[in-house]
Amino acid sequence: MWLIIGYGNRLRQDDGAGYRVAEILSAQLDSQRARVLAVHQLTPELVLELVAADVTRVLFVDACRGQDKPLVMEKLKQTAATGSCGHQMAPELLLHMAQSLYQCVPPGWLLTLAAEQLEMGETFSPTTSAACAAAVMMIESLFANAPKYLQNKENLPKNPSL
Amino acid sequence: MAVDIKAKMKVDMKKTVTIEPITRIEGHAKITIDLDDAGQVADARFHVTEFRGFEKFCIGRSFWEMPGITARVCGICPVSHLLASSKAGDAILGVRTPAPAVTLRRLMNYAQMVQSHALSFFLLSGPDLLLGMDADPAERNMAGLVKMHPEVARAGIRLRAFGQALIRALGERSVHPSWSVPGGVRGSLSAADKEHFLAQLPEMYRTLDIALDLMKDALDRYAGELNAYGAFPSLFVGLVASDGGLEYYDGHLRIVDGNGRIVEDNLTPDAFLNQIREAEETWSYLKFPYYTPFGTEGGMYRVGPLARLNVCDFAGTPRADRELRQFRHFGGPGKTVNSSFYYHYARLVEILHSLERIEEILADEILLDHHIRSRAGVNQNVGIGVSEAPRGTLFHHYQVDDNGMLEKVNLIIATGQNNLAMNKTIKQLATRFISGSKLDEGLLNRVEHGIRVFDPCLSCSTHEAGRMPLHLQLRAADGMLMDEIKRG
Repeated sequence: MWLIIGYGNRLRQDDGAGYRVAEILSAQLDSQRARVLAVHQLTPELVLELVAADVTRVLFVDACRGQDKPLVMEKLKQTAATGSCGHQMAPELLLHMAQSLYQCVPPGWLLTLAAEQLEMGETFSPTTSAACAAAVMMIESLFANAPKYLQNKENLPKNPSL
Repeated sequence: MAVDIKAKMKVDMKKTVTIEPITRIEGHAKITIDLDDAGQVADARFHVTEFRGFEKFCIGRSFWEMPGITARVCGICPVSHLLASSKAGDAILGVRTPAPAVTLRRLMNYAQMVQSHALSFFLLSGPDLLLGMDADPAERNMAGLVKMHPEVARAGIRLRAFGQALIRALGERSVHPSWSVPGGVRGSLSAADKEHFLAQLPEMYRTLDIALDLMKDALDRYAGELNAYGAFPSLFVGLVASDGGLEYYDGHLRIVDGNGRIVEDNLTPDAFLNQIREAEETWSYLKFPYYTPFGTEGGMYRVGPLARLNVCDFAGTPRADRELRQFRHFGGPGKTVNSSFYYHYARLVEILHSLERIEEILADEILLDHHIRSRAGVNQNVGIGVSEAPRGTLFHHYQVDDNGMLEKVNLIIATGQNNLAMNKTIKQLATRFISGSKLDEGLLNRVEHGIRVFDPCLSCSTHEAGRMPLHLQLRAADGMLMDEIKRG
């Protein structure tokens, strides 16, 4: 099963894009194939979600200011390099903690959506609205059209530019 | 802010040490330490350099919206704002909140104490306490803790997850739940959830046993330093139950001095607020509340776990009371425990107490009662809600028109109430550990830890998200760089 974690602050305009994508996906994806979480920020207890027995892959969805392409997908490495965290964490550190604490970590990817406006507000910029729609379509298409493809965990597109 | 400091250096011919940002706290702040010409600490300041202004932009909104809006002040303890705001709304409605709703709100608040204190002890302060203040900074963080003490990290994560899951079961989500409303709550807890959480409690108690052992080891290890971490008499403020017991949701306010004497008791929230003034300084967005009758110096007070254990007569649950008796040995007979380092220990006692209360509530048949909300319109134009947040006493004070539109909002936050004590703690630490012209990580981290013991939440107090690389400079009176360290 996929674990999809969309995160961001819904009161900070485009920053909430990952959260919004997760909200949409949670209503549309088959719960037998994907567990979708929409969270404000990454926190340590999410490690327990990563190491759940039925999770085979994890996809983080976040907003990224200054990104040229609407969507960028990258394979994540486990690393403690981003370990100086406070109340929020980097996805790489979550993977690292899962491996260190439970010797069990699913392969992980980070999908970032282009963001422009991060002021107080609940509306998205046109760029981020389009990126949200593209992200939902891309993730849904992965599930709808390529179930066998998905079974090969290394075969996710490296840098989709939609 | 930096310009002011530079000007101050030039005018006063002082040396200034700047520590920015303070890590492993919620929010963004910096510390400056002024040295005199002899290299001794002249002054120290905790600057909160972020601003949110919730009190202003809520004006004109309906008080019904306030639990949902103010819960978003913070992603860490939204429950505290949710409850204080709902209670202020209860007062505006002028209704009696149904007993099952009060019990459910209490349950969520206990879960909040568990998750927030677990994060503070295990994952934010844990690296300092377990790896040491002088440990390599590349290792002294959450990843280092995971590497060196995986069993502790696992236990801490599961304890926090327990609290978060209970909040989520009640409020549908653990961050920013919109479950508590003026007049009551929106939903109860299912029988299956009750059993699920009851079954997990034995593991959580075992985790507390581990944590308390670690804490006592740390107290031994840092015995020579405890008198530098904010060890001074001050007033302590917190809620206590009508029988004097430890209380987080209702009851009355009590003020105790640094010798354990009760200064004021049986204070209602509005009577207490009438005794408080909020001083302001140009160098910080965080205000400086103090107890007016004693002035700014003598009126300094602390809130939060340490204060709550100092003001209550007893905890009221067996395990926590046993631990509270040990805790009080550090203050002496009839005295308060005055070193802020003991905030860590107090948090563990409070987690223990909260787990015991959660166990009581989950076994209480009142949760089967479906009358969980009273309905009314605006019957009062002023409402004050108070509850104990993990970091201390939280006040929401609203004034509305006859349609319930907000005309005035005053939020008095725990971190702000500790502001004077945090500044004094930094000065005490700097005086103890700074000497000569050399800076090192051990010094830096001790000063930072002096803030971390309070577990401040600057998002609640002001806010604007942001992180900056750490940059600490020690400059001579003529501006010459004497020493410098960077982080990030």
